[in-house]
Amino acid sequence: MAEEVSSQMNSLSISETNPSSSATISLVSGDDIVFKVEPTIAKEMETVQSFIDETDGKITTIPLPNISSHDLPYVIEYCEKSIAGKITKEFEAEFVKKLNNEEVKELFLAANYLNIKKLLDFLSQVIADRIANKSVEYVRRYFGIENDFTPEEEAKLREELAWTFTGVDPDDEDEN
Amino acid sequence: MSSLLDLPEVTLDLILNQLSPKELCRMLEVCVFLRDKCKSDDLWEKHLKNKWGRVIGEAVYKEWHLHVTKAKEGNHGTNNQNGSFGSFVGVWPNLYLCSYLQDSSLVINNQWSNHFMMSLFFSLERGRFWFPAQVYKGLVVHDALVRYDYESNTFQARYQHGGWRLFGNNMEWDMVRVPSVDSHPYVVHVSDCLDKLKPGNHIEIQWRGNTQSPYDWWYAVIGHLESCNKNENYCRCYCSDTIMVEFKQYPERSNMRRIKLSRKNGEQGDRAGGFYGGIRKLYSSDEIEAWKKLILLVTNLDRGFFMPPVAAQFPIH
Repeated sequence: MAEEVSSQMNSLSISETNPSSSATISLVSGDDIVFKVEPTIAKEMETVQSFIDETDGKITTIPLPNISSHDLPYVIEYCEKSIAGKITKEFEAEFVKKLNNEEVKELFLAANYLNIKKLLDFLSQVIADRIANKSVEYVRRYFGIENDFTPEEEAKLREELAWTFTGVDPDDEDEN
Repeated sequence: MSSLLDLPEVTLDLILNQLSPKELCRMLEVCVFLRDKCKSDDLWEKHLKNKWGRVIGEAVYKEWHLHVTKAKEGNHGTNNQNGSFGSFVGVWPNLYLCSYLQDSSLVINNQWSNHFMMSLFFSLERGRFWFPAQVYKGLVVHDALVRYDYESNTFQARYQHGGWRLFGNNMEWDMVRVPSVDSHPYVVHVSDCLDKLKPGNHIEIQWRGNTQSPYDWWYAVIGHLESCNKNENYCRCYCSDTIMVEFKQYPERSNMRRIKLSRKNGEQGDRAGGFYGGIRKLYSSDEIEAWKKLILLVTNLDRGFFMPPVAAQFPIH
């Protein structure tokens, strides 16, 4: 994984020497790594685009303190594909295969911060798939949530839920 | 580790919107915030439409609203001991039961009444709610109360004819439809298509054997009058005060095949031949195809299986 990321970073830093680099935009991750991207890619990221628009395009270095240098290349990769119109089921399947649960979540938060509609839609489906047929405890861990029910509330809830589905499938084995 | 609950609610909704009814129910158990969130009408309306949209119409929402309101007011369960509740319209003896909720205590005790869509979803799913729908029986459509049986994934139907009787078990989804008109089945449907009816139009027509019964709907096609030479260019049938209604399921020579009716609103007919009510012109090709398929099925199955409209045996002249 580390290798892949660094190779992507290499290809990105190569673009620095590209003659058209004056037109590029620098995205600075939370851990101070600079990623040069084409301005068209910024258009996919509403947060970045509105930053550029507000400054009349004079400022082309954009700090993204909430996004790590680990996550940003994935985001850029997805946006590049999206602009090229090359988001296919196969690409998405490959893309998501590389990501563990924690990374999917981090990317979702990044997509939310950058306001990338397509990536949000895609990742929300991925998350939904990953919590499908999992136990309540698994979902709590996945979402980073503590059980805050009182025993009385839990008993009450069980009574309510008896009215929903019968014979709910036994929970799948937890895995992480 | 960051919590997804820190996300703005609209973003969290993106995930919740992807979950199936079963998953949403599991999410309810995660924490207090999600318990309240995952019951929301926004999330459940889509599932309600997906699963039940083909068989429930406006009337069902209206009826459910009534049950929920009664539950909130604490008026529910006063009908009888087991907390079942029905709602009626009409004037005796033409009282019509619009819907029926079994064991309404569940709605009251669990505050489901605050969650309209979800509570409707599960009272349908669990077969506790007998809801108004129309049901194909042979070549007739009856207004009926219908409930779902989740074990067999089929419906049961009760039909009002004198008393209530169960007339359908194990009815497939295709045999149930959203009521085609708003008015209840004792009322003559006021047609808005009478002026425009011409030969070749597909229709459904109300018919009942006596004035104490609710109407059923029959499928028919508008035919040419006897005086017409059926030549497209000369046909004046659309100008006549009389329309020829043809029941295509009967053989060409059968005297059950045709009935002449006045081109006017209101009930017509008599005790011998039964009473015709309003006409609904069918515009949707899906509806017409459904009837054609059904005619083929029923007539091939058994020609004596269905009752003809009595009136068709005694044409009105």
